[in-house]
Amino acid sequence: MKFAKYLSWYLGILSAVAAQAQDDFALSLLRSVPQHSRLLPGSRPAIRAHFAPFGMSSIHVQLENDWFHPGMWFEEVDGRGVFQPERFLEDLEESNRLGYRQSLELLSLGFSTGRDQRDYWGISVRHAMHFGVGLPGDFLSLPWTGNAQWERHGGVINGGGLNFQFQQHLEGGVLWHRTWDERWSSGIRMKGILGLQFAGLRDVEWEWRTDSTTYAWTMSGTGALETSNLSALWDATTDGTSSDLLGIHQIWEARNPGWGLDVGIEWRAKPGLATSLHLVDWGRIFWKSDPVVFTLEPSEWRFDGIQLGDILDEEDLSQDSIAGWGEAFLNRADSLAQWSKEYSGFTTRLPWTLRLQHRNELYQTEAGKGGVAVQLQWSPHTESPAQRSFLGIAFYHEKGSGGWSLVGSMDDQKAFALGTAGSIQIGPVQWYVSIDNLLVSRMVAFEWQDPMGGGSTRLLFPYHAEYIQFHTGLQFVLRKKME
Amino acid sequence: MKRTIRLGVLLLPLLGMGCVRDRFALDEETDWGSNTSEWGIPLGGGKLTLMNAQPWLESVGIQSEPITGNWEWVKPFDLFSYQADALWTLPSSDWNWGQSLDATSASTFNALPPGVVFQLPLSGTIPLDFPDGMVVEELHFDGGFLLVNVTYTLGVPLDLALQFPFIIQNGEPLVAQTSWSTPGVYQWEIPLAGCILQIPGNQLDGIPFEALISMTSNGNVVSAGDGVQLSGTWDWEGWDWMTGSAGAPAPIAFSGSTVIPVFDWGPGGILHIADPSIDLEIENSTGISIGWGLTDLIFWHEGGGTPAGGWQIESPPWIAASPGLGLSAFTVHSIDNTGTDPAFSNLIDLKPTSADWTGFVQPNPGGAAPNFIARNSSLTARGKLRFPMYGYASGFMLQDTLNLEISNALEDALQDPLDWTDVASVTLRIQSRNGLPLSLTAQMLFLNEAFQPVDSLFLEEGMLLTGGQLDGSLTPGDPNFGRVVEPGLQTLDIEIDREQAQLWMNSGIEHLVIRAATSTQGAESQWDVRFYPEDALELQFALRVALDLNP
Repeated sequence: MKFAKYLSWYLGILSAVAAQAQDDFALSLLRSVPQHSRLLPGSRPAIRAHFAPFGMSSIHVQLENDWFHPGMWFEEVDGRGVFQPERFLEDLEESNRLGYRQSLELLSLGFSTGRDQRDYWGISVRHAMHFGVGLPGDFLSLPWTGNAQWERHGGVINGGGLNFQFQQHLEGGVLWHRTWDERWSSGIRMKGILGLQFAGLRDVEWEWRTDSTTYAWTMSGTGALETSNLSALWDATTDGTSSDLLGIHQIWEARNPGWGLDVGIEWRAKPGLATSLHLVDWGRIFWKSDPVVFTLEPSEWRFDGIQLGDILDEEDLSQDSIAGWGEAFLNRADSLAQWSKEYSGFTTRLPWTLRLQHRNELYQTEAGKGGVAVQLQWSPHTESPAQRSFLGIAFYHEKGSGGWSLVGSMDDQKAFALGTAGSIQIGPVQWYVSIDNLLVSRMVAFEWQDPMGGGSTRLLFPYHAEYIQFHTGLQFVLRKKME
Repeated sequence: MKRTIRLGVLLLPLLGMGCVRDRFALDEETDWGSNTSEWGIPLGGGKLTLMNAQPWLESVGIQSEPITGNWEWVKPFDLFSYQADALWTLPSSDWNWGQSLDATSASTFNALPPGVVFQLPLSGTIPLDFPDGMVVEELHFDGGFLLVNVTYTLGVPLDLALQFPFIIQNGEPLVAQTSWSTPGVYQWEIPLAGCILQIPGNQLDGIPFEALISMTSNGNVVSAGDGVQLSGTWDWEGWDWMTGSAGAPAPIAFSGSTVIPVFDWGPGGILHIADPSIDLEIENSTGISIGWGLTDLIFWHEGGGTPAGGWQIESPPWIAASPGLGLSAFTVHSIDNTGTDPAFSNLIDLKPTSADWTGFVQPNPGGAAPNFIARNSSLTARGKLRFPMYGYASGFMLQDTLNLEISNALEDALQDPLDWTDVASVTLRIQSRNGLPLSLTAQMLFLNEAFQPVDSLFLEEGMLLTGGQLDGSLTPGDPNFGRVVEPGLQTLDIEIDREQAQLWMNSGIEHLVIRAATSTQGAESQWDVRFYPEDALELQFALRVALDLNP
């Protein structure tokens, strides 16, 4: 258990993590669910109208974890679990993400207008929050490699993958979708945004270099931490004066305007064959309420240990070795790390996403219609530790305002995900649910006895599910005549 | 039915994958795999420059030569010292002159009525017996007295006047007068302050004087044979300065000795000083040039005494005379390899611990010559025995025992949850940048509380600290000859594995003996090296810890 102590000590540092995940491809294929247009603004909801006044039309939770898979790190040998460090190390990337994202639609309504119901208008209000951390792979592997395995990492511990973002905001949007003719349709959602709280790292670069000859350390780094409406937290951490650590009272005083735009276009080469391109969450938030920016100017400093002025100087030599060494390190760091704190506003981009989807309807019967869809998604934003791209393929079936879909996807990290979504409508009430990733159901159990004499504890971890998402909603929907 | 089938198709993957794939029990016996991480830690370092070590070096007699900046060991000593009296010794002499009445004079005086003055003339010389060649031309007094013993046997009042034609006071011959009313023996002090003894023609065998004895008749009868007797001792007391010639007196001997506390601290080894010297500075404030020499200069060492010879010792240059009163002439003279036999370096190679000498000084070594001298003049020879740190050394052994509680330190070095069973090895890396022309080979011996050996390091091959590099192509005349042109760089790893660390920790090591053999660069080829204040030794220490958890 010695290593367990060692590991727990190290993992304690990593305990404050969370994250986000991939968007629900499966739900985007259910066109009778109006929320699919949040994912594909260029795709018209296949309904006449919808209404959800009570905040239940969309409850969306995403988790992302692309490295903390303890089940993969153990191997059963002679009936016992044996930790395999090399598996852990091989699984690490430059940046390793943990994230959590949630949104709650407070109001959602939409209706068709115009000749042949060509136009669809929608209004929605939702609260969104995400929290994500990107941890440098070199940092996570450090306990198993140390800083002195030059043959492995050249003596460079790269912290460039360090990232962190927390944000919550309110968003009000107006959607207009128009079917121009049999081939073209487009949609646009204009969003006004009120930023509530923000904390995020920006332009972080960090490196710890160990000289292979002298073992001297060279630290270099730069970056900034931007926050808004979180001064209560800083007050608490610096002088403990705040009684509102999360700054709840500050949320109501937030005055951080922003705007957002979702836009998409769909082209139907022939009936049942549609290709669409969608840009979602293109916008900015201007953080003006209680903004604080901590900036570390680009700096580099070298630490050679305790530097005695003179070998013969007894005063220099009389320092307690370990305490003196630590003090020298901290003094060196303090003197060279140029931190500045400014109270100035800043701007963040929304984490935009670009989706290209192709649907090919393969059958149409009395029981409904269905087909296959392929989606390529790209999320190049760097402010948050979101995924960058994935390619998915799906099978779907629709009938009336109900349907189901089954999707499989692979992201650029070669992580496989399996998801499904379905909706049913009873009378005017529609209920839908989307689950992604089904691989989460493959679990690994860890069990241990309470060392204080209590009972045993069992903890389940997904074996290897990088994305976990759950999306559901209940709303009134007026069906559209099936196309 | 169809709906059920479709629902089944939808839920099948969920059912198929919704299971617990593995179960792992975590407990004390869980195998957490091996952790072989390696950590590099810069501990620190320091720099030793001879300049910074100056206080310590000066405490052992080593200082930086002001002009060249070379470090050298210097031992000051006095070779000889003389005051003026010793160099120009004026002879003293006794004198005695008298005058008495004969029968005729006595009758004549007795016939005189009362109150009549009767005079007796007296001439004499205070004799001076100068050695051959010694001449006093002019001698100035700033005090002192001429003591005259007067024996007076006449029964009448007496007036006595003495005149010294060669002793000038205020531009006139010195005249002294006194009187007595009753016979007796009197001592008469004639003050000489401000007087000048001037000898015309530089020839003087005595100091002449004229005496006039005046007797005043008072009715008392005097007899033939009664008279006045004058005597005294001329001892030159109160003289200030003089001119003339000290002549060519006999040589004046001197002797002395000094210790050489250099070679008594390092046992064994070879120490060759390339350019040792005795630098003499002789201050002469007399107007007399001085010849001098050492008749014996013996260096004492373990093998006995070895005499030094050569012209620099036996026939050094004369000591210059002062250019004028109140001034000093300084004569410098060095005894080094260029004028000694055997060569001075060879004598020092014997590692002498002391030196004895005898010698002489010879005023006017060229024969009698015009001189001057003041009473406070002196002749002083001060010497400095210099051993410039220029040469070569090898085989010097140093040893020190440090009280270091290494076992306890090792135990405290690792904190929970780590201990030494988790450490595969610890490598202490010592990096040296040695700007000193000195290499060092060290050994370490670890002792327990009872000073029993527990373990050792470098017992066979030694831990080498490379010295700075020299430019072997330079010749001795080059200013950089023997100087470090490129620091010696070396990386030394001391690796302690788990077993050794545990041995040290469990053996109660409390003492560390460090033995070091040091030698200068190229000592085996007898290359001479130099030391400069800016020469420095830089040491950097770093640690590489290889962990091996759960081995």
